[in-house]
Order: sequence, then C-alpha cells, then structure tokens
Amino acid sequence: MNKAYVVVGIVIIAIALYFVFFAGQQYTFDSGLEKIDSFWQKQDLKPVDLTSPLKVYAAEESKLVLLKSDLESFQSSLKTQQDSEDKEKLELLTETQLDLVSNALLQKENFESIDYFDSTGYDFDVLCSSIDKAEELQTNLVLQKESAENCNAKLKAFSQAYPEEAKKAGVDSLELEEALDENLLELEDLIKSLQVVC
Amino acid sequence: MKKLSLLLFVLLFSFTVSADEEVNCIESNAGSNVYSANFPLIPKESSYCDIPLEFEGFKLRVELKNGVYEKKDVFTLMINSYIIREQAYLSTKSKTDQIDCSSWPGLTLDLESKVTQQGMGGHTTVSGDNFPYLQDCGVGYKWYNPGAPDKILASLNIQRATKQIDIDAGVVPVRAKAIIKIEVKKDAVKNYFSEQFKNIVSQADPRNKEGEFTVYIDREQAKLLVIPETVIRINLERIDYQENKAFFKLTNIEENEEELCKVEAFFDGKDAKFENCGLAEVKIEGLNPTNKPLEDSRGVGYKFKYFVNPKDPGVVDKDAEPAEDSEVCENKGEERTGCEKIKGCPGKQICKDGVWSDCIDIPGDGCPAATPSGDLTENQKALNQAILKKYYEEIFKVDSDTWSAWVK
Repeated sequence: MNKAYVVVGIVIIAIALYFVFFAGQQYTFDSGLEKIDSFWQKQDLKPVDLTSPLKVYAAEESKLVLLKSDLESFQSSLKTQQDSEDKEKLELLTETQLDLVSNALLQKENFESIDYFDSTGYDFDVLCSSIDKAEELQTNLVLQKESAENCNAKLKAFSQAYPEEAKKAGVDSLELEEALDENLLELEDLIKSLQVVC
Repeated sequence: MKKLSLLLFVLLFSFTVSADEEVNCIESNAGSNVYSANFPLIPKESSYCDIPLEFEGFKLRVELKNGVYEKKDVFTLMINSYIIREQAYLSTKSKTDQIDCSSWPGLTLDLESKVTQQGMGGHTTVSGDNFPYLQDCGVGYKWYNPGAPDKILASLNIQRATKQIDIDAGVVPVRAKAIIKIEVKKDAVKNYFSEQFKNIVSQADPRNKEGEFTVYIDREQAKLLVIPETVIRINLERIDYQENKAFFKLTNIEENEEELCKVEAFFDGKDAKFENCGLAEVKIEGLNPTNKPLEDSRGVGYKFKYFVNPKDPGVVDKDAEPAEDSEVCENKGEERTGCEKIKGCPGKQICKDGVWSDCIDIPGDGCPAATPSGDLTENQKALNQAILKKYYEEIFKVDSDTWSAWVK
C-alpha cells in the first residue's frame, strides 16, 4: 500500500515538473525573440548577414546547419504552446528565419557548383563532360530564385502585419536578391547548345 | 533631264525602303578560314554575309550597317558580328544571337579601307585613309584599332561627276564597295562557348558584382557611387589626362569611410587588374577605347566598369579578424618590439583600445637614417641634429659650432 502511494507520488511530481519546465513555459513575443536571437548570437550571425551574398559565402556551413537545427527545435516547441497572438507572431518569425537560413544553404551549394566551373577554367572539353553538373546548377538556381521569392514574400508579410516586432527582430527591411530570369534563360539556352555541339 | 531626275529618285528611293541585303562571303582558299565579301559602301538597312562555322547549325554573321557621312569626306561604317543558330536548337531565343565580338578571341577582321567604285555618268574614286584596320575587338560590338579613330575614314574624290551629288542627303552612287576580309581562327567556336558559359555562370553568381559608371569631366565629384549590396564606395581621387588614367579610392561606408584600397584605371581599359579591398577584390576597367571621353544624355565623360569578386572564405576570415598576435592586449600604452620592419628597420606596436597598433617606427633608434626635411617633428629634428653631429664631428672632424652653422 505504501509502495503504491510512493509510485503515485512520483508520477504526480513528474507530471508537475513537466508542466513547470516544459509545457508550462509560455513564451511572450519578447521572451521568444530573445531565445531566437540567442541562436543567431551563438553562431555569430545576424539575419541581415544572410541577405549579403558575400557574407553568406564567408559564413561556415556548419554554423548555418546548427542555426537551422536550433530554429527547427524552437519551432517544434512552439507547437506545444497555448494559442495566442504572440505564439502566432513567433511562429511566423521562426518560419521566415528558417527560410532565410535555407536560402543561404542553397546559395552555398550553388557557390560550390560555380566554384567547380571556375576551377575548370571553363575549358570546352571539360564543359562537354560536365553538362550534367551545368543542368544541376541551372535547376538549383531556379530553386534559389523561388526560395528567395518565397522568403521575400514572408519577410514583407511579417513586416506589414507586425511592423514593431519586425523592427525588434531586425527583419523589417530585409530583402534577398532574386536570381535574374535572363541569366537563367541564357544558361538553359547555352546548355542546349552544348548538348548539340559536344 | 526628266529621265535623269527619275533615275535619281529611284536611287534615293532604293536607299530608304530597302531591307537587309545578303552578300556572299567567299573563302579565299579552301580550308583557309579566310573570307572576303564585297559590301555596298552605303548599306541598305544592313548588309551581311554568313560564314559557316565548325559546328553544324552555327554561322557567323558579319554585318555592315549604319553607313553614314558624318561630315564631308568622313564616312562611318558600323561592323557587327553575330552568331546565328538554327531555330531547331533554340527554345527560348530568337534565331540570331547577338554576341559581343569580345567573345570571339579567335576572330580577326581586316577591312580594306581602299575602296573604288564606278560612279554614274562619270568616274568617282573612294580611297581609304590607309590605316591598317586589322581589328581587335572593343566594347559595344565595335571593331577598333587601339590608337586609331573609332571609325573607318574614307575620303571621297569625285573626279568627274556629271551631276552634283548631295552628300549630306546620303545620295551617292550605289555601286561603291567596301571589301572586308574575315578570318575565323580554329577553335574560335570552342572559345566562344567557353567564354559564354563563363560569363553566364559569372552573372548567375550573385557574389560577383559588376556595373558601369561615368566620370563626367565637367562635374568631377569625389564620391561617385556605392557598389550595390556592398559597403564599398568608389571615390574619384583625380584624373591624369597626360597618362589617360583615373585614380580611385575605395572606402567602407560602414566604417567611417575608412580607405579599403586604391584602384587605378586607364581610360582604354589596358592593364586593369584586381586590387585587394577588404572582403573582396575590385577591378575598375576603362571603357574608352580611343582614350577619348564619350557623350551621353548627362554630359561628356569617361566610362568605367567595376568588377567585384569575393575573396575565398579563408582569406575573408583572415581579413575579418586581425591576426592573433596583433589583436588583443591588456595594458593600455604598453609597447612591444619585434613586429615587421619599417623600411628595413625594426618597429614597435603600442597597446591601444585593447588591441596592438600597426607596426610603427621606433623613434630615436637611428633607423632609418635621418634626412633633413622641412616637415619634421621636434623629436625628428633633434634626432637629425644628433646624427649630423656624429657625422660632422667624427667623420669630417669639424667642431660643433662649425657644423651647427652648416646645418642652419
């Protein structure tokens, strides 16, 4: 009988601890933003850095991956929160920032392809043997363009819906550069030409 | 008389309404890749000839257009080159693809500036300016010879014309011919594809920035422009019209306009090279092939193009963070020696704001050797005096009063 009381007591304490330390932690926008900012600070990055191709190029991929992972965990934790306006703001902000980081990772992947072609010296024979890689670059540039468009739309939507919060989060005037359609078309055209002459 | 007027009307009409005209490109010897074509001196809308290239479906089109008399005795011809591809190979673009001739490193073009023609009712000769128009490719689809006028000059010598010809109205005998020889070198197409691919990939790379700007000669400004998406501002320092060169200073707009680097650019673009500018390398290239200013709607000025390339991440990281041994220090004012030499002399660093300063000269150590100057600090002057005393007293064996009198 005593044992049963002890077990019941432990279960009650465990449930109480869960509510105190996990389920019970309800973020306000400011406390949530503080948490999000800490992820960026940990990697020595700022959202604005990821709108500059030069800084994306210089940023370590491992840091971006860790940042993405932290933001995803935070996004999951928000799902256990009670519905509120602050929760909605934080969810939208996290989603936007995740898009920003994903776009940076995609850019880094494309930099690798571009660097590959740079390293070949654009020799005709090498180009002919790298048509697959050129097609992959073309596809990824299209993805990067779509990702940038999507991210810009979210940044704009968040800034319009919550201008104060966007300012606090440092995303109020961010805009990613979208790849030029003309370049993509030219690349597509040239790949077709290479397929003919190689 | 009526017949003559009618004939003149027909001739004039033929200039104004006719469209493109194809002429034959004739290979001088089989397999030589050297072609020649007889173009009308006054092209219709344009006159062109097509040269087959080494890959089936691809042709080089050489086009002569916009032949105009700028003024008496000066005649300008524009020559363009295009690659033509068969429609079947293309999905998104029109049949002809205009290519800047700079994409054709293997293409040479030799315009014979001597042209003759038989005029109507009399003999008219057109002779060239005897300039060897063996062409290199310039910017803007034009062919030019560095140092030569950016146009083809021909002088008209109307010896015996039965009727006054109105040159300003462009009414000249239609049978005048310009002979153009074209040589397409081997591998030109391969080189073209390589160059095109490189250009397009480079354009698709958002790290690589390039753009054009103009330095107007009548409103020189120190601050010219900020390169988009960078912190780099291009400032004009000065223009040297003797050397045909402009000097630029690049500054960081986020760091109180701190100087990043200096870049020099010849007007005609020669010897342009990348300079280290913080996170990136920057090159400025002149776009004025004849070293003459160009005119646009805003005025007369020299055109330039900037190119920005990022450094590789390793270099970026190294530049972004100061070297370990020159970064952190604790005691403000503390000095240490052993840093890189200044003009062959040992230098020192001073702890300032938590970091070691740049390597500076150690004053009073007699190195480098002092030279009298009118722009010295008191300490430097004292040092010079000490060195001079040593020289004069020990080497020249003169007393102090004497050497003091010498150096006053």
